[in-house]
Amino acid sequence: MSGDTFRILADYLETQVLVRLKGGRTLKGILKSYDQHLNLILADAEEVDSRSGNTRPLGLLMVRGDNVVLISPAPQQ
Amino acid sequence: MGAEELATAEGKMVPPLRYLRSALGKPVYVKLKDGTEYVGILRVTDRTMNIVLGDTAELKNSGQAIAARYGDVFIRGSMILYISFDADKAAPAFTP
Repeated sequence: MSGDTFRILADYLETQVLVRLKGGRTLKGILKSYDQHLNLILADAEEVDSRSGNTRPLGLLMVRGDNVVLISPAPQQ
Repeated sequence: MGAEELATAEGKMVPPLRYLRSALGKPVYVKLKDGTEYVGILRVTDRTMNIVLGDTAELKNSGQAIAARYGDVFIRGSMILYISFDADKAAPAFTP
């Protein structure tokens, strides 16, 4: 993969990230993999309800890239 | 190697679509962009993420209840939001 942006993404591998999707959904998980479409693999993923803050476990998850709005390293707890 | 083994293997990054292929024959939970949810056995995939599920149940209320049962369903890849390889976590009551 090419470009500086994907190099930034490579730095996030194996760390906890927050992923915002189209339609306002938010996912959290450990970034295991990505490709040029921004398809993602998240381990121990969970979906965060934006209103209540409740989370729902989804386990090992593949996210289709065309839904991705932003990816951010999660703050260290 | 199954998807779980790929996730724990050391070394070079495995592309997301290879994870999908490694889940063939296993139960997956699929959420579409319109919010529809399916759980079924992953039968076929391709590089555009089109998938065929067998023994499929359409779910509602975040995997809490069944909306309909199907045999096979063909899902267009472009309609997919995400796919969980841990269907027993995402929809514990209805994983085939």
